[in-house]
Amino acid sequence: MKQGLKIFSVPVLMQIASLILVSILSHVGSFGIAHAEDNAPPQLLFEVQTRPLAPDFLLEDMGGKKRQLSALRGKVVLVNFWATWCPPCRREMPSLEGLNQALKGADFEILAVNVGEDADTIDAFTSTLDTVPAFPIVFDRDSRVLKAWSVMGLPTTYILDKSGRIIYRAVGGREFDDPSILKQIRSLIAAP
Amino acid sequence: MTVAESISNHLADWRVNTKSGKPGKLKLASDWLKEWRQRGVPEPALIAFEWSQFPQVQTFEMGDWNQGMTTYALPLGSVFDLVVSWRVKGTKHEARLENIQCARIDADR
Repeated sequence: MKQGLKIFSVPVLMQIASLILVSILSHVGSFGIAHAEDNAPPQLLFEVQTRPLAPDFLLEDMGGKKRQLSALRGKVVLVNFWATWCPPCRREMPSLEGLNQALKGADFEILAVNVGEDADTIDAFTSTLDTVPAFPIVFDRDSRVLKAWSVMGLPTTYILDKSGRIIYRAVGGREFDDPSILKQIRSLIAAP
Repeated sequence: MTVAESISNHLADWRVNTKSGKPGKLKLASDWLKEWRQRGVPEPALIAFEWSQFPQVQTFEMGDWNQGMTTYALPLGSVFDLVVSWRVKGTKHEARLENIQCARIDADR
């Protein structure tokens, strides 16, 4: 608390007074600044043509278990970078669980990589959801993994094929249990 | 037929024009982080601050979007126009947001 008072001294307040929330929505060749709620983004995944191998990571989950990305080879993996203070991250979390349920039993895993927070903070958020996520939430406490993946903003989500290559990317929130996204992921799961 | 093109954005290219005629500029996350580190702000707070800012550099594909904060090194109550720019296939585009009013906060409170 003392630290917080020190941070927000008068000169800083003057600058924070000029703070603006910006939201950019990319359509087909169009550009806009608006509140996210005004323009529901289309449920699209961008296909990464170069299909790079995803950087490996070894991170601890909520139960203290170490999770290594490369140990999931042979499965399609969705890696979601998020934080509880990120509104679109919070909004899309139920749809990630919806996707998880829809693909239960398939060769598919979700890893939600939380950036810079602790278990208590995450628990406080997930306990407010109708369904607590059943997929692993892992901690990138120093944002090193986030930077290794060249993430520029939250949320950002990647979908990896069974050999660990990045096939799709989504910058900004999505409804991941949308039929169009489910279809794309199912076809990756069906691929040899 | 429409063709999806990437939109690239560099916050450093955005311009601020104040009503007094003085050009202003955005205070970028990288500027803030230097300041916070000098003040000894804890790492988790730095991470939360950095990632709650609108990305300094970003490429948007079809369906992509971001939201985040931007800050302006201007006095309280300033009125300014913000010239937002972005590039599509290397061509620069601009839009102007006029008469943005900074909050008037009683600094003594």
